[in-house]
Amino acid sequence: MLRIAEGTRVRDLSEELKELTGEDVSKCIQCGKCSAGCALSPFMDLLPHQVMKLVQLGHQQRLFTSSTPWLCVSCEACTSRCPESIDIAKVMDSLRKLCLEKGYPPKEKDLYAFNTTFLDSVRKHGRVYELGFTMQFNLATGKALRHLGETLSLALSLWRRGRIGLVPHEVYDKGTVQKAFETAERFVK
Amino acid sequence: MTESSQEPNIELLTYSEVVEVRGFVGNFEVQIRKKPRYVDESKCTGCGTCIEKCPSKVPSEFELGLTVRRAIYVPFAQAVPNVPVIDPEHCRKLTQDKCGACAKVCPTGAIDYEQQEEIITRKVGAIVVATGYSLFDPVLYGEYGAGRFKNVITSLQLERMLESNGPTGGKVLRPSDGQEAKTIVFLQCVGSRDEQKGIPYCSKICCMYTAKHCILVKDHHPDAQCYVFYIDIRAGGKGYEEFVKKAQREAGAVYLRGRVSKLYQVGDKVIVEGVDTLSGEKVEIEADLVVLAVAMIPNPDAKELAKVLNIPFDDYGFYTEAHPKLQPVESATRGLYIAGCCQFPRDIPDSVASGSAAAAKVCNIFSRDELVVEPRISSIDPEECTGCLACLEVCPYGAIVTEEYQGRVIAKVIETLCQGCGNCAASCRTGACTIRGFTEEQILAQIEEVFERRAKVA
Amino acid sequence: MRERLGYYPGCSAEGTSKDFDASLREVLFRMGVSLQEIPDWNCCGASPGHVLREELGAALSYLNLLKANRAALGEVLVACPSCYSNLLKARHLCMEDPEIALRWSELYGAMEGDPPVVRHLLEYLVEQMGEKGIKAPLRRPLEGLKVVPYYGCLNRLPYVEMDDKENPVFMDQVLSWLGAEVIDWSYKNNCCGAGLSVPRSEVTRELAARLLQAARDHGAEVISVVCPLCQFNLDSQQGYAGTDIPVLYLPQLIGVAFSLREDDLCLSMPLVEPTSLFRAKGLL
Repeated sequence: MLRIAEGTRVRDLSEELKELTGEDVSKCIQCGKCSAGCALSPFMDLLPHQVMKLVQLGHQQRLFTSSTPWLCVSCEACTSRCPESIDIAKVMDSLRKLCLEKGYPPKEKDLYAFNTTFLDSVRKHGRVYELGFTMQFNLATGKALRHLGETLSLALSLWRRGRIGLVPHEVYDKGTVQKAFETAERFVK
Repeated sequence: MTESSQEPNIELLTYSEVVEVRGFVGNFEVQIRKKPRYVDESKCTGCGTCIEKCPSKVPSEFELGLTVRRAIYVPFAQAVPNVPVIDPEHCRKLTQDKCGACAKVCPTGAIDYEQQEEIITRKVGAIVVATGYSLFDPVLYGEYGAGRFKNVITSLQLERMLESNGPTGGKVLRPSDGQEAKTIVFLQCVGSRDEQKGIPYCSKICCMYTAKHCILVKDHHPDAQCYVFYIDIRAGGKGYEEFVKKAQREAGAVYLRGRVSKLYQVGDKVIVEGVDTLSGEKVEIEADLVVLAVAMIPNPDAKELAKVLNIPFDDYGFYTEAHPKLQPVESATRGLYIAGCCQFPRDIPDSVASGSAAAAKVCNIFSRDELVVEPRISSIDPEECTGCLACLEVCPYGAIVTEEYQGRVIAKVIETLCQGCGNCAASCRTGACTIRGFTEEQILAQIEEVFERRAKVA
Repeated sequence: MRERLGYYPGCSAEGTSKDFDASLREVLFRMGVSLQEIPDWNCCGASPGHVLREELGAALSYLNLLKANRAALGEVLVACPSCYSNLLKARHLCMEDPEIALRWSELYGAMEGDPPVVRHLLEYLVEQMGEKGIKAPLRRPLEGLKVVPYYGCLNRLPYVEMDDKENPVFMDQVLSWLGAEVIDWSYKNNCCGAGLSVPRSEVTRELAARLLQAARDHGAEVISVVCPLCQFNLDSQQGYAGTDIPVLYLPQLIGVAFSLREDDLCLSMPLVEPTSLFRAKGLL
């Protein structure tokens, strides 16, 4: 339930989002075209247009405990077709970041871990070491254990065809890469 | 239309266009270009033999490409006058000097390949513009496959199909294979309410005609099923809401709230990828036919014509009325009226009402010998005027013209056109141009009086 | 006189999409282009970059543009859609946003003059190589080969202004120049699930199955792709989808038409092997 009591400012979240990203969610008229074309929507707990509405209503609790922003892969079908030219994929990205900033645990732990282990690998080597990072990811989440047979079979097929790079490539100028990690801002307008 | 062609007080000039308008209310002089029909109207009996014999086939504009017409043709069955016209771009005689079949078979010798365009002049007291609208071309929506997918058509094409004397004899058929369409999906707001690819406004008529289509489709094909994807239903008219409910309750149309994202062509079927935002479900429908309710837009030559007629128009090309609430059929130019969809999307009752209103306004003018104007209008002192014509440039009503006075050119106000806006007086450098009853001296006197009184009170 | 072009391979070129990288180099060499890898290039940030920290991916990509700039590479060729979008984004930001441009030049180093132009493989093939450039080394037209081009989300990605977003045709064009029978289908730019294949294979499996079945229903014998993630997703889920269609990178198909060696094109790398199909068609 959304309880709007005295002093509640429903617009705060959408204004914060506009300030951080430049995207104006208040333009959304809920036409639903984004949800209609989202390839991931059958797997989401909230449809994209519902997410947009909840941002308009400032309902942080429901937004930041939803799996929807984490499942977005930025295929941009929504953004490219939105009649109000809202960059919905960017809004999804921003919700992920806001979720972390406001201290909510990510609903999709695996997907969060995927992103962090990927970046850890980049930070370490300068390029993503596919083998290393997938192993790291599986250690962190135990995902492979749950589908052990399948994972091993796939890994073996890839290995036999030479599609697994055994040794990581180390970028020479790691210093600047580290610097990027240290100084990059969370949001860009 | 037949009635108006037979009315003795109406001169019906078809296949013609207005080229120039001069003058002012009560005294317009209009130049009209009569395009060559290549058929002598006085000789033609409307027998239609020429059309039968013409070998050249062209997609029919009236039937929106659903069928063909000949190079010599009558645009539609009820056309007035019932005299064919030759399309000069597709006639073999006019383009390659071959064929000539129509002239050979015409029993009255009415075909005239040498006919030239004619410029005629008419003096009129008032002008009513009712040039109508066009439809948005959905080809811009690549995701809807318009222009590529055979079984994706526009609402007007469906309208032609539903017509008993139309290209399919009243049957709703899949263009790809001519089979009866059993599952028909309607997409509302294609081009409308779209700031990105279309136009931002609502085209007003589509919700209602789609409901009508659902009812008619069910009537013609009792076992067809219609689905309508909408964002909002706009049914604000007499009996309109009840009509939409009829489409849903009696014709069994299933209404789904949500804009469709994409259409896929798989064989003869069109897969519709949409959503119902109310239930929160993504919806996929395997359709035989998809009908796009395309936006209503101004004619492609609307802006050009507006310049000829001196009517202001908005960003879209719709003609601007003098006042959106109080003067909906008058334009800024006195004596020039606008009616119907050239002004903005309107349905039939509203268009008829606006046409009647424009006609009434014309009668209002014609019922007198003299026109009464507002007294507070511009006046130019010929002695003071230097002829810089700054006033002429800023007048929005075209009420200032030039005249000769004592061997020099000066500005002159056409009093019937002046609306007293004051632009001219404000731009006049010499003070020759003033507004009657509103001169600077008069205003200053009023101010002085006010302050004197206040001084006395204080 | 060989044309010299900068090249950004992207991280999967060293692992799961080695065949993409190898065949691309072979084919471009045959067309008279000498590719020069950006020295010491680093990861562009891919998706995790902009997911967790908007500026990170852009900054990492800026580093690559800087390295290309220092190596005097005026133009950089990219094949991976994600890398392409990120590099374009970095280029856009450092050219249009003075605040960021200043920040980056102070933190990481300043660009000398303009950053290099970033070109995608498809636009390079269609707009710069053109029909002549592609037909010149053609030895064995892919006659009778029914190919379905699959673009994935490439043309919709941020900052990409190439081809038509809803009905792209660049790959179709190249394939038709190669003599293949190109099948047009409306699923050509649907999402494959991208990077979810690792953490959420249940999702990519469904999306891939849908695409594979549609391709099969359209009569596809081969699916042509230009993205490592698309290739992996479609290639690895065929058991689940019940299909058996080889998924090849466009450069591999170009290489076959140029009669290049199987090993050089890494034709044994796809999980659904294509060689028996090609032999049956007389293409190998």
